[in-house]
Amino acid sequence: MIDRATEQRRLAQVLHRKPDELSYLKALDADALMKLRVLLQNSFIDQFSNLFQKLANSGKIVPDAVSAILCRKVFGPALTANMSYYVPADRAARLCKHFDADFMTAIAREQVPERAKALLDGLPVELMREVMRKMVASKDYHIMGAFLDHLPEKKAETLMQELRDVADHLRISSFAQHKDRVARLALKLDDDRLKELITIAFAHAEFMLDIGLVTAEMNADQQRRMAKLTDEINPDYRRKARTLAEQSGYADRLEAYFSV
Amino acid sequence: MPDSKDLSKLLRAPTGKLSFLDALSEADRKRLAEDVARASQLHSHHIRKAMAEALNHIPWILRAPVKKLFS
Repeated sequence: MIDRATEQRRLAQVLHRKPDELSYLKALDADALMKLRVLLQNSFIDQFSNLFQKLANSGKIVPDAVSAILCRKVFGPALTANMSYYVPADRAARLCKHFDADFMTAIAREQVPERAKALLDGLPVELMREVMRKMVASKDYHIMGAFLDHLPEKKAETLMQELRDVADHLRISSFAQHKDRVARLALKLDDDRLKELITIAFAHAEFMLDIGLVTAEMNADQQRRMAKLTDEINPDYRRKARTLAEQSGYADRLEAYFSV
Repeated sequence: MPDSKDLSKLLRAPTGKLSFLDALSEADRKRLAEDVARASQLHSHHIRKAMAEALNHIPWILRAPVKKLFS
């Protein structure tokens, strides 16, 4: 299920606007907002596809190490990121092994995860770990959320273990569309960490909706675990959660959470 | 200023593929076209700047032919 608020945040990033500034798109549902964002991102790439294709082709005749130097010293992250869609994924992954974490982070900021899926499959998680740390430090949550949707789940799990501040789970999750995946990752936290997550979520209005959507993706037993932990923090929280879920239209998917 | 009719061109998609935008009023489609045009210009500027910076790394005598090659 696509979450509309998440999609509005992601579209706002692409349009260089604040999410509130897109209130004029209120007639569009989540699916339409996603279609619009994908068309927009593809149009950006297609506008220069001839250039990116030629740049990618120019690297075919030189060894990977030389291509990697050209990317770092000449093309820079913006052109390298866009070229990557026109380079076979295995070669792109080999080139990335020649890049340092700073350059990889700059490339990730330029990439459209939907278009880089094959590359993400082939990249070693060790390389991604350092990129993740740098993105957390620079608060690039919208990029991490978008990548979280398209990373192989095992890699996503390894990377999420890198997060020290539990609030970062929520910040990243607010930009991730696959709440079912976020739910599975959250359930790997122990009770103490999960309680920390719940505490932060209920202290911040912007996270309350998200933790509700994530919990809605859990099965009945898992929802009951969340309910028990929530009550241990503050029994009043579930009442607040119910009000919000009813207003936002997902209360029916939280039956087990509310029935404890 | 772009108007709603420009959306198909801006998004590089045939009008038939944009029927999901029919839910928007004419005024909102116009506003969307303006936002899309602005974002597209920003992106275009960003890529052209990156290309210019890349060319700066090439000896000046080769810049024109390289630029022509990639244009």
